[in-house]
Amino acid sequence: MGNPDLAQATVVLRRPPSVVMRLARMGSAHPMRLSFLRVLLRRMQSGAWTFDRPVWDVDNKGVGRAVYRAVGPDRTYCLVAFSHDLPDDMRSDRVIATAWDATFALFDGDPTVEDLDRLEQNVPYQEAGRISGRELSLSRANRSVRLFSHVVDRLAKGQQPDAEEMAGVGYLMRTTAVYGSGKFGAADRREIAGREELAAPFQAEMLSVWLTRQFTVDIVEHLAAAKGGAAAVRLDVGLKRGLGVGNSTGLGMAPFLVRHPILLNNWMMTREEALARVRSLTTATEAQVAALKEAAQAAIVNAADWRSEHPIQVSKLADLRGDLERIAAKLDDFPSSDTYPWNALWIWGEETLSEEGQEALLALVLEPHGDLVDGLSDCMSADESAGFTIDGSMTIGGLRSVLRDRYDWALKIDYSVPEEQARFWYVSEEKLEPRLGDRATDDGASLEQPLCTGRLAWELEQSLNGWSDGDLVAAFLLRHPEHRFMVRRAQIADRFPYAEVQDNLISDRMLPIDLMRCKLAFFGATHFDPRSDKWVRISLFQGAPYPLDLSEGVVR
Amino acid sequence: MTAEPNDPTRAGTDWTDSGEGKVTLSRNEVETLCSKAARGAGMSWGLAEEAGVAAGWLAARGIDGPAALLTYLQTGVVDCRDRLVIMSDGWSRLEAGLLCPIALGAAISDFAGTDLGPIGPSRVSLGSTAAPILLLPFLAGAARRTGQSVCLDWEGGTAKVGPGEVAPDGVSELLGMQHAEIGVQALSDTNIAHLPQTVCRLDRRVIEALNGFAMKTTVPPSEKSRADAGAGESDND
Repeated sequence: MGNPDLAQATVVLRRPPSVVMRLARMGSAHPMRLSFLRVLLRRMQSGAWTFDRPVWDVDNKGVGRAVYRAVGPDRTYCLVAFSHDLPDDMRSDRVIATAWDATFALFDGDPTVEDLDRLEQNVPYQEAGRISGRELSLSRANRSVRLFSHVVDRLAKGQQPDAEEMAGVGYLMRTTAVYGSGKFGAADRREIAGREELAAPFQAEMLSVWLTRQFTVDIVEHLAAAKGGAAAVRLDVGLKRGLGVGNSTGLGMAPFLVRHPILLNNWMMTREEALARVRSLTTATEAQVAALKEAAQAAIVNAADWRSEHPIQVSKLADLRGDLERIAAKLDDFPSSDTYPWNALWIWGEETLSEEGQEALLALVLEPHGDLVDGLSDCMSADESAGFTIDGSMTIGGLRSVLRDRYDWALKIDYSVPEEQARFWYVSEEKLEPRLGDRATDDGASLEQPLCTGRLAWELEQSLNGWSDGDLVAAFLLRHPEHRFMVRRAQIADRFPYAEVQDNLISDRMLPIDLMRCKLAFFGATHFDPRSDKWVRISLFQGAPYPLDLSEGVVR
Repeated sequence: MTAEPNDPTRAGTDWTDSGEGKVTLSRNEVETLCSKAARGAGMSWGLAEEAGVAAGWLAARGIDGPAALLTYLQTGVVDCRDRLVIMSDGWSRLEAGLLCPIALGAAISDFAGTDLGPIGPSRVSLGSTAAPILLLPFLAGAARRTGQSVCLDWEGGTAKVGPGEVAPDGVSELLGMQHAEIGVQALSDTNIAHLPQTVCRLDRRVIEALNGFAMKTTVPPSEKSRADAGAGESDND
């Protein structure tokens, strides 16, 4: 029986920011239909893009260069790859590394030999080189020592690699940084944001990683052929499809979401809108139910293959696996006779599942509804300059009310308690790597970055004492330039309700990996595997088709 | 080909050995570099953001705002919160001394569209201001929001600023001034020629010096800080 009260509320319901924007929940996010690599693959498949490898100039030691070309209806993009022979003792995934197994740039158009020569003088040096406005991204990758040589050795002997070894690692190489948006001379985001194929977030970076996945397979097959000669075989298609591209990420990724509040809002609000649309449906067709069950089964397989030794993740994985079994059992009776069957399923999940399971359910219920939600990906990018100009005509009373509405979570915290200010974010001199210090014992707290949004909001609120509600923000900022940064954020949060992470980002309980997991889930990352509370590995494009055989494979 | 190691303590390109001449930077790089440099020189975070965006706006129009910002930062960031007072009877100076162009620009931007905005039919004297070229982006922003073009004047010259744009006349003279007695007034002329957008070209020495300020926002490495930021175990597996 439908519940009319519930039904009425459901039609407009998005989960509120106070639920969605908490670190623990963000740290339970799963990839879904609107994740950026899914957006890219849909475009590549539906837009009749074609792919080839016009350059493969690599010697028997695996040293040389290659070009992977993606030709779309309007424009061409090329991944330029440089393959190196890296001594084992130089291999590190940290940003402070200085050399890599392979380095890449995504070129805008078809590169000439002169372009390739120019890039060869710069791309292998990564941050220490310069690229130009003709390039859209700069990246590098290291081999998985465990898997890479195993695969080369087996293929060289004419054998396939061990399936268990393959599943245990999941990738041949992992990227350790993918720079875009004007970094090191690359094209500014504003220069390319108007292109349809690059309008959604991180499309150039996703394309670069997808083409990199092709390179990782090509280079093992090349080395196997060089080693084994006529005896060598190519990688089995099924094993190959199971490989993604790894990514190894440290703290550098965590501040991104805090530094891009409008973008964060648009990601979160869009995802919540997608969920609300599905929950508002009054029917569940047979095809939708079948697709939902198929997605649930795929999620169970994915969770079974998902390895981590980190205690936090081990516990979360146990929650997830248990919850996925509960979901699968619940789906035996789906759809129910409720007026809003999807909503009934969702409410059941909220009452029954862990946060890990609830967020997995979100990804599952979106899966059968491409027609309903895929178009929302157009709403996920942001012109962040739109939030830059401060509205000085806002009154102090207005600002107070924004702080009450949007920062109540922050104003409640007692920052005089050491635990609530236990840490500080700073930028290291070493390659400008963002790091997190211990305020009581580490040097550098005087150089704290303004990522402590909660405390900044509280300090702003305190400084408003003595100002009248009718005074102008412009007049306040003339006397208090130290609050300009937070006033800008508050005015953004006023217009964009999902702009702020609603947790204390400097408390001793804060886990940076929660921020990273949220961002990586929006990228489409699977197999989130923390190596500490500040360092993770993930996999991208596992199960997806390869550019050079686009027709094969499916993505979850 | 081998990949020679580079210096891991460096943020990026080493400009010190790259000789004379100009380098093309992305606008994002200009904004980030200038913002960090302003912060490193002592500006508040919020004003440092304004400095970065303003310098990028100028550089994207072929005006060497980053060099002007550098000169200003080298002479010392001025705290002018007690130098300017804005009341219903207008803008006036509480005490003598230079105004910071970023703080003044931010105030012009903040008050634009309120009854207290300085840009109206009669000229408002703003007094002695450092690196006045840096005001142009703020005036252009104010002009865009109010739909009111502005004339910026100094002894012997003027510059015309329209919504989001600046006319070429007077710009190079203004760029050369380390400080000037300035005033602003609304312009009835709305049809203002504007400088076309271009790539950002910066002198290597300017980049190097700005980077020197920017690095003051960073913390020197230690073994502990390096270890804390990484994986709990080897990442070479």
